[in-house]
Amino acid sequence: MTTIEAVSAYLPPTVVPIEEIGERLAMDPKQVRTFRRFYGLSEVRYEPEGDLAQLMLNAAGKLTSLIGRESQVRYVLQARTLQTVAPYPENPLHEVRQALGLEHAVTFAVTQHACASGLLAVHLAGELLAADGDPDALALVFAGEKAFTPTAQLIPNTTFMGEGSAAVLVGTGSGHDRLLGYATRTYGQFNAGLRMTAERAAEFETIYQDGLAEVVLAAVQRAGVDLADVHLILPHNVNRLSWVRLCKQLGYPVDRVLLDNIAVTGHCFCADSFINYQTALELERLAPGDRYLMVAVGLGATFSAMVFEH
Amino acid sequence: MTREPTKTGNHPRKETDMASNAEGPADLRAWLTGCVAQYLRRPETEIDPTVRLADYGLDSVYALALCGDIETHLDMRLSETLVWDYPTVDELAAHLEELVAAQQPAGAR
Repeated sequence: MTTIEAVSAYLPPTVVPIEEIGERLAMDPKQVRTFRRFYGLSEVRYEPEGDLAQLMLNAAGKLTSLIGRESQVRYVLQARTLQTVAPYPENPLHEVRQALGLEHAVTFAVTQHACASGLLAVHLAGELLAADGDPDALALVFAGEKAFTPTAQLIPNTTFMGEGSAAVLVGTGSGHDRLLGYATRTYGQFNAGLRMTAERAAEFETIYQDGLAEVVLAAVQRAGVDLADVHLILPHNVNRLSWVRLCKQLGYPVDRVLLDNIAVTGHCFCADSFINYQTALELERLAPGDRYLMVAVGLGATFSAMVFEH
Repeated sequence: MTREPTKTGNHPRKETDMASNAEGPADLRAWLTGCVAQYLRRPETEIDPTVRLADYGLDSVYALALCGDIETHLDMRLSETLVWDYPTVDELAAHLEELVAAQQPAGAR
């Protein structure tokens, strides 16, 4: 069974109000006010001096359970939204692998689920480790990217992107968190992502809530639990409205969705649920035995949900 | 989710126009119809108050902008899911009238 051994998250220290980004991107101030008032967005974090490798290493540096177990790491995966994250010939992932002494590990990136690729990477890591059959083997998953261009800073009418990262140590032994169920569905008709036509975007908006609800319920069913038994949802941090609407649709209490980070991080690509995991531990919102959900949506469009037991 | 970011910015009516006070339920309904017509770029006469706003193509961006306009107009804080919970002009107006009435002192009703 796939387990999460440990998660560490890193948020850069530079805080930027959304109004400042909106002005830089020539957004209508009224729309920025809508983002603040109704989407619950307030500020994001940037690390102006650090590159992607540094962002990843800052998360890995806090992963104390990796220390001394480097030789057990068989896979290093980078879950990312953007297919191009650094100018050729730079390779931040290989740079990080080397810095951590993990040159022996098979290393690759997962991008096709866009911002839902983080959950896909955890699933893949678990499947690969299980196929290998070594109960002591580990995989290291990275999530989080640089918001280094205007298209990486804003999803129009939806959210602001922030910089933040997470490192997730995955195993198949007696980890802290057991993966009970995973559901994912890709609607290929929305594959144009940010370049969708207005008609296709309207269609995506129409199916969004049902798409989200479908994977949540499917993951819960595969985990063999009821939604009512799910103690906490660790959501994507795209905006608050998505979750208020989903909770109304599913009859799930919105105060059991960890929405605290939306105002302070914005949407950190594939890293949201893992950043929220660390916050949940800090706020003591997860106790041993609690079932919880990680949920993500990627443009393209993929809806994914994972049920864990803490 | 991926429409043009300046869509609300292209709105022809100034925010201050939207924020002029209505005097009663009929005015509130008329004001709402006017707002919806402006966002949809249609004559007010084409807005059927019993038709779902989403069916007219009023997407989430406009729905939230409308919600913001109503908050300014009535000087009250509203649920972010207002336009989804009350999806037609008629339903929206009736709900807002209830909220306004609930805010009035008992002797003023």
